[in-house]
Amino acid sequence: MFLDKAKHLIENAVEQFSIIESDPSEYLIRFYNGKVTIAAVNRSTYLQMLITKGKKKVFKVITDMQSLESGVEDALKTLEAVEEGEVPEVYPKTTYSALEISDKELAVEEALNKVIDSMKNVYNVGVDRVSGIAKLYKTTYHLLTSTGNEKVETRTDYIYYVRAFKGNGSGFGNSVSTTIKHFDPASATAEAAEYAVKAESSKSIHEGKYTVILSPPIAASIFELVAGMCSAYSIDVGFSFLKDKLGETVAPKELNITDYGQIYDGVNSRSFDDEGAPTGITKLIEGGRFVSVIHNSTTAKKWRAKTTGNAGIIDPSPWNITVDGGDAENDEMLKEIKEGVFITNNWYTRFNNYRTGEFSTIIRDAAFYIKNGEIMYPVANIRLSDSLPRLLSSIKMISKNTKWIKWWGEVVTPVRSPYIMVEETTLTVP
Amino acid sequence: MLEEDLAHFAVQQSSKMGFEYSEARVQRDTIISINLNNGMPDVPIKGELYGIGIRVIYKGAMGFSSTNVLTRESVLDVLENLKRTLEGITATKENEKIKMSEEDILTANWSVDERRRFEDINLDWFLKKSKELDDVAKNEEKIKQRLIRLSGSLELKYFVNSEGTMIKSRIPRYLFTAFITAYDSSDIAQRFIEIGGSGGPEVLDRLKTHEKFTEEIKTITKIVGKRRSIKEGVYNVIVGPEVAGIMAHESIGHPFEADRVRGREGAQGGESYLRDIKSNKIGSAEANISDDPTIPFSYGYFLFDEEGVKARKKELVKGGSVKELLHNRETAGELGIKSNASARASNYSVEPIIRMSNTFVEPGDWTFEEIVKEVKDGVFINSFMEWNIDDRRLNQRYVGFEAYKISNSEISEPVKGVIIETTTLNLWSKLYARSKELEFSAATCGKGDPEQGVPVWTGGPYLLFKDLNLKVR
Repeated sequence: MFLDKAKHLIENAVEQFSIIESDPSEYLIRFYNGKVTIAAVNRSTYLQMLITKGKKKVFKVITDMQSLESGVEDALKTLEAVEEGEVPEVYPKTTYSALEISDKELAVEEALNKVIDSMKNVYNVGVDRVSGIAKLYKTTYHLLTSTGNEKVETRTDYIYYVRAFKGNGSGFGNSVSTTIKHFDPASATAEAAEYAVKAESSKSIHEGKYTVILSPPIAASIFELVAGMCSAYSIDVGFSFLKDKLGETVAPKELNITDYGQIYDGVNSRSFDDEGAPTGITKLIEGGRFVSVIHNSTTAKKWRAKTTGNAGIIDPSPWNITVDGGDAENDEMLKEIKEGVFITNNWYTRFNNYRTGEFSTIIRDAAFYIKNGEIMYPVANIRLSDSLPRLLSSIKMISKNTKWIKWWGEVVTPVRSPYIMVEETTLTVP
Repeated sequence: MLEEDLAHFAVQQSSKMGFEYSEARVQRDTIISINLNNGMPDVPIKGELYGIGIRVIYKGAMGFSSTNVLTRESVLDVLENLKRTLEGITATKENEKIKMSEEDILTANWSVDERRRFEDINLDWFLKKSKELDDVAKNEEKIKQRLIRLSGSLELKYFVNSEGTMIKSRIPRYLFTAFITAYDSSDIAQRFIEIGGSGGPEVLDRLKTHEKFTEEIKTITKIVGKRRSIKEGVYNVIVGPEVAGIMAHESIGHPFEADRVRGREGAQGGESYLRDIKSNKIGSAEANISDDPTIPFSYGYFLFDEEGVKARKKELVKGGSVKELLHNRETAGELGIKSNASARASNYSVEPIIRMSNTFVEPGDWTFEEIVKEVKDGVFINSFMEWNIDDRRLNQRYVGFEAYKISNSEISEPVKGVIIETTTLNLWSKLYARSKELEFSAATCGKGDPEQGVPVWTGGPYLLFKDLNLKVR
């Protein structure tokens, strides 16, 4: 193991270290119009190293394993040169319990066959073309710390997302799992195709305020932003509207957002963080109140709190975000709406101001105009332009069913999200 | 040092294994980055990505493989795995046969000029320089939060393909970014600033980083709390080079990537309006937009692309009409034309795809003063914060950060939250005049899955749009 060699090279020269060796194997297939555009196989070994001495600290990532000694030597030289300041604390001796949520081996052939099979009937429903990607990972993580912690764990992740196109309409589907058993590209492809067909021949709507139903992909993108803004670092540097709001009500009492270090189908699961702290379950929004800030050891010290096991050496961040389902059926939500829009996906979210939470995002893929509780016709060329605090406080209904979302565009940290109904949401058109 | 022999080994083995085409890129990216959070350094980060990326064509299908275990055994292992995967695909699906364009066989060894080499710059320099820049803002009473980042990188590459092309290159780059929050009793203003280029550390002085950041800080403190809303409506609008640049990048550069037009990015960045428009006309005769990787010291600088094709300037839109798309060898091969060297890869572990370099609106022949004089009553938007565009690159929005009313042909009071929200064809059809200046901003452009951020410049002169609808946030 490279990690043992690195440990040997640094242990007498530093006071603290946390080293993680990871060796992701990646299989990837991208396709367009049912044809594979590229297949890729990638194998890597990475070593990341936090080292501290006195009040000095350095974080180094090494990929040149043939020159590991000179890489470590460079890190030690840098450590001597850096300015003194606050140093992260490597977590004391502890035990980790890695949940059995992955496959023993990555089922590459079965997964790729599932993806290819999902295409078989998609053109029968009338779509023009289909574009997507499947990414399969098997990664072993090996942790070693100066405090005597050691842990090895292996994870498998299966990620697939797809878009189907029909005329100017399009639909989106997503399947995310830690096991081949739950990996379901067929449903994702079918959902994308169904939405694409329904979204053909879209009309315009007038700019204004609408009651909207946000499907899991767009709701997940909103909740990912909110969870990220629960990071102490984000709050400190101005990237959060939640500054000075700890303990305050920011959403209706039905809203609960939780971060899980490990969870079934959470494809960013690990039992330890970058400082060797055990990951856990952190309630961020509970009963509509902002109840916890996410910490690493540095932000915890500044805030006089305890680490939540979310390091990120600089910026602590969530692992897998879940939003509890509510008590509404999807049809009930629809029936409540006199005039509104049902939105299936979004893309390209940008903030005008993180402190006030003002942002806009492009409505992507299928969206439908709702009148008197019924879906009337597809709509397009819309932008949701609002603020996060207002959106959160205007959630009126939450669906029972939830779905894991992770895809390239807007949901990078996995989020298990319900459908939500939000009142008075501003939609603009060019 | 790069394992050049291993690149040759990978290409030789690929030929033996029956791949019709292969290329190998050994690439080492070294990165140093330091943050100052209200003057206090975060953990300094040193990192490197070093490995080999191999792209092949097998039975007409494209495959890519990478590893950072730089041994012959490891290269053989990934190639064999890749061949098995490609066998599976080509056996079960009738796949598109990829044909690369015919290109010259080249040998080159090129590098960016640097007065001080990257290897000779230590962390102390980064700390000292970032503190100098932080000093510009730290005593400003209204500025409550400052996140300053100074980073440097060195990209070393050795490229070889089965046709005999061999290119070696060295590109050092430096980037200064700042995220500033200013408060007034009635207003919170936030601003991102990015200044960067390729070269030695002296490139930051060449780009007048200190002077530009000082000017930005003055502006932020001047306008926070003073910005007032205006009525929504139709205005004559002047935009500054930063806004001109993002418009060119988003609404012309991206949709002119030929892989998007073809649909290859359909599930990610999306497709392009060029699939649907009936005419080549994009805008008024003033719409002239280019992409040029050969601008010395630019952030998006390169002389040969990641397929070994010699780089050149591309005129994307000329006199308001489509002139040329951005091509790699795959899209050019499909059309039977030559590539214009637009293939880039952000590191060894990802395939080269079609990318912009330095995308900009060409300067015109007006002075800035003449342009302002042309506008009796209007709005001047010099910089932006929020922006986005749809995945066909038609429906776009730019929200002004530093913006002013123009009254009686004079730039007057600052305005808040003014929004250009329009379509690409409408925007460029309203372009009336371009100034003589040409200024650039640094940015990291994202595309592809796996996500590839590549350094680019966006830029242009001051632009005058006549009768543009403005909204207000």
